[in-house]
Amino acid sequence: MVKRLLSALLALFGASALVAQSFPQPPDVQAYVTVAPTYASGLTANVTNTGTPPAYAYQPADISSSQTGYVVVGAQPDNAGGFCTENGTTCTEAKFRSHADCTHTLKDDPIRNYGQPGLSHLHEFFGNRSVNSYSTYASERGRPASNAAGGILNGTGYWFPAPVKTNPFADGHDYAVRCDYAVIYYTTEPTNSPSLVRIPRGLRYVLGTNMDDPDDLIVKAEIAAANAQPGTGGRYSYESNGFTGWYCLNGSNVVGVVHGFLKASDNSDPWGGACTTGMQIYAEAHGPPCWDGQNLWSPGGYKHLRQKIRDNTLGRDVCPNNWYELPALIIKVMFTHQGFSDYGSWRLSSDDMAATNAGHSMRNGESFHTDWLGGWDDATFVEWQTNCLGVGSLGGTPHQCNDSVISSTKRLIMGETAPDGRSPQVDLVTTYGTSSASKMFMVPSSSVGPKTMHVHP
Amino acid sequence: MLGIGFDIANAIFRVSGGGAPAGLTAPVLSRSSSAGAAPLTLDAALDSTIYAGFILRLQIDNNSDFSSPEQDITQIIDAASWAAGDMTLAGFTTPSGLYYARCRVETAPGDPAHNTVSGWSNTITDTIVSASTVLNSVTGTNKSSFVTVSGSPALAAIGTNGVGAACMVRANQTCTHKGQWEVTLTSAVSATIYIVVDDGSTNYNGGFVAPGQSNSLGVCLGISSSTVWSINRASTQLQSGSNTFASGTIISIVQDPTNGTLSFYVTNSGVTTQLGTTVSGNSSTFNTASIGFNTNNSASCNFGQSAFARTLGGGGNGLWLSDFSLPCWRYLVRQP
Repeated sequence: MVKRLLSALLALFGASALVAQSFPQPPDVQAYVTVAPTYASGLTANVTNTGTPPAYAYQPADISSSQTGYVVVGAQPDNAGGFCTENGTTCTEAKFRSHADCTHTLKDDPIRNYGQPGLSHLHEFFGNRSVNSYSTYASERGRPASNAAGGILNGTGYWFPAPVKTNPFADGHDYAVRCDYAVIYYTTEPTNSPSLVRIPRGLRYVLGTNMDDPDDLIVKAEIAAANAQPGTGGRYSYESNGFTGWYCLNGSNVVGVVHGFLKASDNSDPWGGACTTGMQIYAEAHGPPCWDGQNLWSPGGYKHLRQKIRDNTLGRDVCPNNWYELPALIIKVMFTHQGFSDYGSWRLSSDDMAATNAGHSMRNGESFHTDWLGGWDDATFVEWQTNCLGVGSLGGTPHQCNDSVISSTKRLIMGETAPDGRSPQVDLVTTYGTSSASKMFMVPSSSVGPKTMHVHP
Repeated sequence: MLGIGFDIANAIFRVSGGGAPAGLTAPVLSRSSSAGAAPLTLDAALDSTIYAGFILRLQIDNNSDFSSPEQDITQIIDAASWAAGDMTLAGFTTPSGLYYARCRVETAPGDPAHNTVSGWSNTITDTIVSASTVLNSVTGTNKSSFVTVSGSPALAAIGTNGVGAACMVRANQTCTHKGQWEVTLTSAVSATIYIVVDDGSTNYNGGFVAPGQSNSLGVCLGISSSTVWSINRASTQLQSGSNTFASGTIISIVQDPTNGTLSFYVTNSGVTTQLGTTVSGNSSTFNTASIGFNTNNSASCNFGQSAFARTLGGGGNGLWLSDFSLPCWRYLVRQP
């Protein structure tokens, strides 16, 4: 009914492809202040702002964790895997790499549909186990129980549109494919570290396909405006919305090439039958590192951050002039499948909405994105930003931190049993797939009561 | 451009934004599993004030005031659970013995649109005995409370004379099968040990033999820890013991209702010997079994929930096991 109503309204008013929505402002953020991205003209370099971002003044107060047992203390040998000093050769990245298991599904989105339970398309959450439409930094820290490495130290909520199969078991229900786990990176180019500012508490945003502008027309228009400046023609070009696509994984080896969709327009298999039962498939999205420094949130979740664009004149990727640069997220969400007959039928819960907003069809899986609502214990948050990302404003040195290592002496629990009983804290072994209903998430037809819940051990 | 969005269409039945927080209706709780049976399954009926995404909080306590819940669990009601109407509650275990349960719905902290919590549901109660239940070891005296099953009078407490009942089980019907139970002394005992088996033919107050208790009427058996194990039937006075039982001593009690006998064994260092002689001429049924001390001592009891130290000869099995006819020993309850 909702779609019919929307279609009718679109037809009636001749709306363009870009659909304006109202996005309730979460109660713990300031009203959004527009900071229009601009780029330097001529041969002038774009400047990364390394000052104190105005948003720091109104970030929510820290809610720390006092419970112990979520960190393993012990020397992390340099250049021995977990903690590696960036050296330009064997360790070329500045990153913090960690993992999380999926937790639950809801038609909730506390960034785009704050306080509107059941209104969003179906999301699959990982990390914090209690994220719903009312979640804020404070609520995540208030209920920090998490399926992420480090448990309650990382109460961050992460979510993505659920891949849904239509009535796969002929029981009248649709089912979402449960992720096996997610790989989470916070990363930057080591040379950028001195220019980074720390990620503020309370920041939230969406990375990957822009649901309000799936073709990134707004960003492309910004680039066109930059190139229209005197002496700037052709200097800037568009790179990506951050969604890099779907990968097939055989063990640790990528099969074939990456594809932006799970089924081609002619209904063929993008991998041509090479991605077989037993292999995993994963979606990857890269977060925008450029931040306006003013806003912890924006209507829709995209406006206050930007991907870098290419500066062809100076031969590098750049942020908007005078914006800030943050450690950038990379999310990889892993799934088990039964071959193309299976994954070819996965339709992201957001694909139809993206098609509506784009004004053209979207192939299965094409609208992948991930939402991020920070809920870190701040001391831990600062620790890995300092020791792994070498965030300049924190005075750190970049390292390549794998396996949830946060310093030369600390690692977040991963395979261990958590003090709250979760064992292991992150399960990288169990796979789910689509072979039975019990391994998947049933999709509700309605999220509103009345409802009787059978509760059992 | 018009502000067109899915939320507009939905807003007509949504609660959001300003105004007074909306109330949440307390769930109505019921039990959908059979009485006394594990696993415990509860039904929480939620009305239209509740959405998927709210948090369900379940409390289980052995006291009706929920002053110190044994289980206090919160979990988000996710979409898949909502769709299935079925919620596996992480950390929830079927309670053993008497329990009280209640639940409520909670929102995320900071939710301005709703009251933080609903009221508590109604309380439901039941008694569950599970084969996997591990009976507790009790130390001290005046352990006067214990659970019982409905329809039967409670065993009298024996704490008034400074005597503590360490373990006590009871069936809601008499039992006609041969069975065994064991007591492991977890402290050295140099005073009187009471082991009582009752046929339930009369009131339980008389069934339990205790010093100074004069109204013992049924078939009552008491054993003292003296060198000569004298067994007093229908007695009101037990003999004081002079022997000392080391911690770790296991006393086995074999109840054979078919032959109307009781036999006692003691196991030390893996060697089992019979204590005294088999007592015969008892009632053909039993329905309570208990052990107690007249000083501060402790013991753990095995009614069949784990392997016995001594093999029961001539057939039969642990009281607890499922090969007894229902609803005999399956409905054993324990103290406290």
